Amino acid sequence: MRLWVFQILNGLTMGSLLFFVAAGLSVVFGLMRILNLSHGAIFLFGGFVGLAVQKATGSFWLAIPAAMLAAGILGFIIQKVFSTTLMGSRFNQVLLTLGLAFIFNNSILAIWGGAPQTIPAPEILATSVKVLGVTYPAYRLFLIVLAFVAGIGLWFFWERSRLGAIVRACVDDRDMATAMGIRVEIVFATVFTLGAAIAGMAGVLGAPVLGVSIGLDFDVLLLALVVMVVGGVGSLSGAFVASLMVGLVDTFGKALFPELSYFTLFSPVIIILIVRPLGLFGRIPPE
Amino acid sequence: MRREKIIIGAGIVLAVLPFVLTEYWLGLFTQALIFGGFAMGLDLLVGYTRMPTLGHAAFFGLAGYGTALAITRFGINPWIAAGIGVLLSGGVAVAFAPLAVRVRGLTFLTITLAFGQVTWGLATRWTSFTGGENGIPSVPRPDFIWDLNDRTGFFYLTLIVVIFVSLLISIFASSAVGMSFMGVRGSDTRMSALGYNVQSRRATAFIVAALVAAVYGVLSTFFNKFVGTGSLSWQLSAQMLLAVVVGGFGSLWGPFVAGSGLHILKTLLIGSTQRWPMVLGLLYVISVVFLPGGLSSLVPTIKQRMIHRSKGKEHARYGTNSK
Amino acid sequence: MVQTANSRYALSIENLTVQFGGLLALQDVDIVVPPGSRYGILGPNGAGKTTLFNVISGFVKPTKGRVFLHDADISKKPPHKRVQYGLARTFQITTLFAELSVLENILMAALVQAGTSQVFWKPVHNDKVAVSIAESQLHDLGLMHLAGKAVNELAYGEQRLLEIAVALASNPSVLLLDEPTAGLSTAEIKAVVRLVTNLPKDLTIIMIEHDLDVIFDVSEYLSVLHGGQAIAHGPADEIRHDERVKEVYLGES
Repeated sequence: MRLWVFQILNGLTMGSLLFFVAAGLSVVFGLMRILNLSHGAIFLFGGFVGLAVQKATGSFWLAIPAAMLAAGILGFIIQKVFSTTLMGSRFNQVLLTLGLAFIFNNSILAIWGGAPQTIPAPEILATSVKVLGVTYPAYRLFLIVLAFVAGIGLWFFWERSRLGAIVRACVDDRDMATAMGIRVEIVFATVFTLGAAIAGMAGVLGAPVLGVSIGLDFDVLLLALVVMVVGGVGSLSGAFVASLMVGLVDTFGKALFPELSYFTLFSPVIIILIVRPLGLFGRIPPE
Repeated sequence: MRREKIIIGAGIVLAVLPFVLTEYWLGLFTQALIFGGFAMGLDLLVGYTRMPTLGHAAFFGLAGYGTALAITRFGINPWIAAGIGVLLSGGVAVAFAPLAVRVRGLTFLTITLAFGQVTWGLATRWTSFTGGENGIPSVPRPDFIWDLNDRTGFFYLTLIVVIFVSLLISIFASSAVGMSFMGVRGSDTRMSALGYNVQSRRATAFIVAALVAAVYGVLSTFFNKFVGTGSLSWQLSAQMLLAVVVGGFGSLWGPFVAGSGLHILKTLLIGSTQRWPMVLGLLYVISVVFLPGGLSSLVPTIKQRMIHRSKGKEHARYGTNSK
Repeated sequence: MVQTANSRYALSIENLTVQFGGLLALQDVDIVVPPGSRYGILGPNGAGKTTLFNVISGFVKPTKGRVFLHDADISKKPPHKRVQYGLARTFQITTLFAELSVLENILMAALVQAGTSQVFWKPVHNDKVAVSIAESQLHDLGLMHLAGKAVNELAYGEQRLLEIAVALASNPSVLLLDEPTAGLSTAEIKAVVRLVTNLPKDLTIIMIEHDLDVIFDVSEYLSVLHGGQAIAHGPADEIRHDERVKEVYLGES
């Protein structure tokens, strides 16, 4: 029983981290029809920037805004420089952002080296808490709570705020939004930049759990892609539910069948997508 | 028939390589031919049918693992093992293709990527059977009329396979089925209105590309006398996808040249630096931004001239792109 | 091919309802089309005409109702199977294969008719039966001079003609034409009308058309759709003078 609770919490931790990565990826795709395969590399970039700042200042809390800023700037530049290609055919987008993913990956390797590193959890959370009969790291619980808070906050922003309404209008019908006088390209640039900034933040938040290392960029990208298509592109609630699902399935798969871990994760995914090609909450065909 | 003649002609020219190259370069060219052939097969899926996959290394690697495991774990004759390897890959492709073609675009990309990772994950984690990160070493090469343990001998076997498979691909591409792939790429609604089962055409393209990958996966395993997780990696899938893009969609020869060239470039660069992903990434970006039509788009003038010249002579031929 | 001579109707639609979410695109539509007739579907924008075609050709699943082709129930058949029952259609937006030649475009349909669309072991241009089907189709329509051209080199009017030619190469007994003259000049419209009127008399043609002159010129029978419902059926002359039809449609234009 204890083991189960422990694994469930681990799954929720993983799912929470995935939510931060996938939400940005999914909204950018839903809004702009841009599939950004360099999203995982931006996540890792955020992680390493956070690590550097944490090393220099000793503050975990300073590392987060620094990583968000750096990743946001990177996202802004990508979106600015390659806007023509990004707005062009899906095929070229995929190739371009895949190329960028390789370039970022190799640049990170060149700057920070290949040795896996970690950012220690902030002191105030570097302790363990008794919960549901198990002793569990406080930092991980913090992540789970944060994801729920962020999920609810984003939901309110998305469904209730004026800005959210504008973004949703752009997701649903770009031409209509333009006709209503919304400056779609500014909304796009903002969302792309924000998506990257959130990925950067996730890089720092995830570091005490996953570490920061070359290769993590791709693992995270793949999981975020899976979350996005399972949840349904452009859907925040879908991303939230799918993140927790994927986090749990991945964790249990690894714990129960370590030799088949990829199989246990991806077989359900493939089945879900075959039954529901639009994903659980999807309205937009992900083509 | 022009393309078939070019393939045979190119094969004859390449046959002199053992006389002019050192052992090292001959080995490198043998592998280059293997990866060129792999890319050419992938062109049927990515170029002809426009189904971008990030998982076709799975079929390359599965065939290699199937062969290596059959020989080393079960003591099966290498020739039969090669057949088992190809059948294994082909069988998995036949099972997976009907599922994969139900989704498109981004979901297809994700599913193929996920599928590739499943095979890679099995090879990496199932250490007791697959050797894990260490792969399977000392895979013996089969016996043949001539000695395949000799570099020149293996080169000639590879060349024969490459010529044979390329001829098959070439004829297949110009057949009714090959043309239907282009139709599916152009408009699948129209294709079903004309009586084509679009899903089954897409599945066929998937399986054929998988079989080609499988043949070269076996050849690669014999060449290296080894198979490792790299042969199943998504990086290899990405490299092959790039080969098709750089080479030019649907030209067949372009992806072949690019697939060979990328392998040579990779080998030369890896020797000195760790910058291969950077080069791969830059090539992606450059080719998408500056050369969207690929290598083959650089020679339209030659193609145009050939069409014009053949117009008067060949009455029954109306193909605009007589590939 | 299903025999056409014995069946009462080339196409009959029973009680057809199509619902997209909360929207009723078609509601209890019944239409019967006699063999060999020229049948027009008339109606303002959003009346459900293209949805009707999409249901007949199998691209949209009806919420309720059935579709018969020569008395065979094809309601459950996928689009590519309906071709075997003698159905062919054109599209409103030209969806020709732009990178292929005119002959190759027609060949795509001819291969299915020749039964050689599964052949993978020889070049398609060596397929004598299919090539001759395609060539005679081009010849009959007087488009032979375009055979070697790429589709993207054709004028728009020529593309619309080719659109019909491709559908004809499927050797249909029932042909659906979805706004064949949309976006054409007067001279080009004449060419399309000439082509359609010269088609074999045993071919049943059902046509959606916005140009009233064209539709009254070509069709013998008409059905009028309005708001997803079929509000009138009958010979073209009667429909022309039908008061309700004048009200909802003719009056508007």
